Amino acid sequence: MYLNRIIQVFKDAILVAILVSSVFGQGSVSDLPFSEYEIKAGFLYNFCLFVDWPAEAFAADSTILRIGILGTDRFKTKLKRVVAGKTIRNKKLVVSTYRSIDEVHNCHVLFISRSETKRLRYILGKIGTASILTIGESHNFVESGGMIELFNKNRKVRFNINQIAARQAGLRISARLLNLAENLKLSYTNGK
Amino acid sequence: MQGRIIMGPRCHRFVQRGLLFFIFACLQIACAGKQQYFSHKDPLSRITEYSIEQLMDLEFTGMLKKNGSVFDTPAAVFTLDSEQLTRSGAMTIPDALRNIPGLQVAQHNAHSWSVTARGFDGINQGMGGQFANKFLVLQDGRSLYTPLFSGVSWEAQDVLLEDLARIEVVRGPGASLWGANAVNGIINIISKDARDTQGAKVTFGMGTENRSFTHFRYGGMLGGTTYYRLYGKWLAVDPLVDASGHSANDNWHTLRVGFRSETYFASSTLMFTGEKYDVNMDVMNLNVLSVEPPYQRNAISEDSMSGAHLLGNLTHHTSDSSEFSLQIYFDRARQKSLGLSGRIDTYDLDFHHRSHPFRRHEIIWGGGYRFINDNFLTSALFSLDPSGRKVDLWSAFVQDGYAIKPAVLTLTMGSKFEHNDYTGIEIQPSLRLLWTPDYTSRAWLAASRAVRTPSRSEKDGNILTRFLTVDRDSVPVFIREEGTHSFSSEHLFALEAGYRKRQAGMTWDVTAYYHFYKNLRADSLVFGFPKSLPGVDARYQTKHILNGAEGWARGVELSNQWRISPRFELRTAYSFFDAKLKISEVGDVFQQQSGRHPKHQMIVSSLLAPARDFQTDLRFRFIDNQPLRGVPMYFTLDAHLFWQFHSRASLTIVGQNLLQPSHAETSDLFVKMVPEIRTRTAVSNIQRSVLSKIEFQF
Repeated sequence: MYLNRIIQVFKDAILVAILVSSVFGQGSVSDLPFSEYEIKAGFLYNFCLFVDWPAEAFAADSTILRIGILGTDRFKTKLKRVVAGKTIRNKKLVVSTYRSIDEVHNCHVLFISRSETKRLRYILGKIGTASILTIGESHNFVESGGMIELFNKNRKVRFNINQIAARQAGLRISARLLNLAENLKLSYTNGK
Repeated sequence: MQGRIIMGPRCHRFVQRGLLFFIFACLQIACAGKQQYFSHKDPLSRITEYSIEQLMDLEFTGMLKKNGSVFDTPAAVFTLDSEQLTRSGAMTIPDALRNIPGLQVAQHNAHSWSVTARGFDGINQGMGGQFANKFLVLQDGRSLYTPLFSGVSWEAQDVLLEDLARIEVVRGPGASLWGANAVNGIINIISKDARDTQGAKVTFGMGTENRSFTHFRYGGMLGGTTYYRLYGKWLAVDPLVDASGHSANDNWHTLRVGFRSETYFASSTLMFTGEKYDVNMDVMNLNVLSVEPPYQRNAISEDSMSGAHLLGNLTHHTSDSSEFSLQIYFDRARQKSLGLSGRIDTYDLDFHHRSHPFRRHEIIWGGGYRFINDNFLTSALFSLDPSGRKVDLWSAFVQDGYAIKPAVLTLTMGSKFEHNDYTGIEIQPSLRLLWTPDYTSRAWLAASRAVRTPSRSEKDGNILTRFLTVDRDSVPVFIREEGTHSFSSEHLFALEAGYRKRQAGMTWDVTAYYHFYKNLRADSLVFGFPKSLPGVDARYQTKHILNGAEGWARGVELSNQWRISPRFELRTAYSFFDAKLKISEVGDVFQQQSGRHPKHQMIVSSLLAPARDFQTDLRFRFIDNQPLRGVPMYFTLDAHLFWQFHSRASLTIVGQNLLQPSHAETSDLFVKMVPEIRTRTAVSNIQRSVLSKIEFQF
C-alpha cells in the first residue's frame, strides 16, 4: 500500500504546484494564445520589416507606410490594433480598407482577401508593376502573380514567395525572409 | 437523482480539494484582473515583439468543427496534432489515443482495444462486448460507432497516421451538438487536406509485433484548383501471448486503399473522400456454446470485416461571419465472425450553418437524417429478430453563444433534438459558461444531459450466453439473453468545471466532473420455464436486459505541456477516476464500476530533438490496478527515434511496452465472478515490441 501513499502525495503535489504556479506566475506573458488573424497581422508587420521599397514609392515628404486590405476584412480591427503607434524606418504604419481595386491609392502593402479569388488576375493586372507588396491567401495567389501567399499548415502560418513578381515591382525581399518561405517561385512571370 | 448518491469519506476529501482549488482560482483571478485592468497596453500589440521565426512557430487557436477555438472552448477538449501523432510512435489510432489526457485505453488482444473516458469501457459485456458504448467516434464527419452493439470496432478502423491533421477529443458529454451516444465523450479524427500531402511517399517497415507493413501515398493536382491524394496501407500483426505465455492466436491483417480530393472555389470548398478496406483476423473465442456435446468449448475462428465509404462535403462562406456546410455519405460495413455475419449500410445527410445574426450572438444550427439498413444471418448462438431492419434517425440542433460581457463572459446554450425508431424523441441540452479573466486564462462551467440509445442487439438480439444443464429428456438447456423492446435510453446528467492557463511556454488544463447516471443497463435474473430453441433440439431460459442500474462517476483530469526550449518539450497528464453504480431492480452486478477501472493514470512524454533532423522521444505510462478485474498496475515505456538521414528519406525505430516482457491491460476475470460464463473473445497479454520503418519521399 506504499504505492497508494506515494500516489496520494504525488497527486497533492501536482495540485499544489498548479495552484501556486497559477497564482505567482502572473508576470510574464510571453506565450499568449493568438487567433489565426492575430498571427497573420504579426506576419504583415514583419513583412514590412523585411522588404525594401524603392525611394519613389513614397512621396517626397511622406511619413506614412500604408497597409491596404482589399475585399472582406477578416482582420476586423486586429491589424489596426497591432500596428497602432508603430513605425518602420521612421514611417508611421496606417491601415486602410478597400472594397475595389480602383479605390487603392498611395498604398505600399496590399492584402488581397480570399473574397477576391475570382478577380485575382484582374486585380494583379491592374496593379501591374507598381511598387506594392501584394499579399494574399488564395490557393493560387503566387501562381497568379502575387508576391507572398499565406497559408495554414497544421494550425501554423506558412508562406510562399514569388520573387520574380517582387523584383519586377522594384521591391527587394531580404534573404532571411526568402529562406523561410516554404516555396520560392522563381519561374513564374507576373500575371497579366 | 442526486438522492441516491452515497457520500463516503473520499467524497469529503473531494469536496475539500475542490474548495481549495476554488479559493486559489479566485485568488489567481483577482491577481490577474488587477493586472489586466490597470494595464493600458493592448496585449494584442505585443504580437509585433515576435520575430518572424517565432511567429512561424505559433500555433493559432483554430476552429473546432462547431465549437470555436480549443483554448476558448467551455469543455474538456484536447487536440493531438500531426507532429505529436508521428512522434508518439503509434501504429494504430487507439495507440495514438494513449497520448490524450484522461482517455482510458486498454488493449485486449492484437486487434481489439477499448477506448473511453470517465469509465464504462464495457469490457466483457457479452458477445461483441469489448465496446465502450458511451463514447462516440467520428472520422472526417463520418460516424465509426456501430449501431449493432453500440461502440467502435477498432479492428476495422485504421488510417495512415502520417496523413492525419489532428485528433480532437472532447471528454464529457458532447450530445447537444453531436447527438446520442456522445455521453462520456467524442473523438474527432481529422485528415489532412490533400493540399498538404502533395508528392509521393512510401513507407516500409517491420517489427516483432507489427510484423510487416507498407504505406504509400501519392498527392497531385488537377486543373489548378483541385488537389487529390491516393493512399494505401497494408499491415500484418503477429499474435500476442496468453497468460501462460503461449500464442494467443490473434493474427490481424488489414488492407485499405482510398482517396481524398478538394476543389477550391472563391468562397467554397468541395471535398470528397472514399475508402475500401479488408480485414482478416484470427479470434480465440472462449466458451463457445453448441447444441451438441460437450455444449461448451473454446474455438479459434477466422473472422473477417470489410467495407467501403464515400463522403462528399461542401463548405461555403456566405459572408465573413457566416458559413454553412453540407455533407452526405454512404458507408457499408460487412462482418463475418463466429455466430454472426451480415452487413450494415448507412446513408447520412448532415447540414449546419453558423452565423452572427446579432452583435453578441453566434448561432449554429443544423439538422441531419440517417438511414441504416442492415441484414444478418442468424445462428443458434446469435440471432436478431427481425434479421434485417431499416432504421431512420432524424436530428436537429441549435446552439447560441451569447457574449454576456464581450470578451469576458460567454454563455453557450444549446440542445440536440433527435428522433429514433427505438425510443422516440430524445432531447439533450447543455448550458456552458466561459469566463475570460485575462488573456492567458480561461475558466468554464458546464451542465449537460446526454443519452445512449439502445443498440440493435439490445432491442432485437437473442444471444445464448450460458449452458445450464441437460434436462430429463437429455436435451441441453441454455440461458438466452434477449433484447427487450421496453429497454430505453441510458441517461447522464453531468456537471463539469475547468480551468486553462497558458504562459511562458506552458499550458495547464484542469477539469473536474461529476456524472450522474440513470437507467443504466443491467441484466435480469433468469426466469420462466424452459422453451424450445427454434430449429434445434435444445431449450432455453430467458434473461432480459433492463434499465436497472444507476450511480455516479467523478474525477479530475490534469494536463500540462511545457515547451522548455524549441527542441525540448515535456507533456504530463494525470487523471483520477472513481465511480459507484448500484442495481436498483432485480439484476446482476455486472455493471458495477468501482474496481473495474484504474483509479489513477499518468503519462509523461518527453519530446527531444537534439538536432534538426533527429528526434528522440520517450513516453512513460503508469496505469493503476483494477482489483475487480485482477489486473495489476503497470508501468511501462515507449520510445520513438527518428532520423532524417537524407532530404528524401528517413528512418524510424519504435519500441513499445519496453519495461517488461508482457503485461495485461484488462482481463476477463470479472466475468468469472459473475454467475455467468459468456462467449467472449480471449484477452491477451501485451508484449514488448520493437519496429523499424524507412520512409521515402519524392
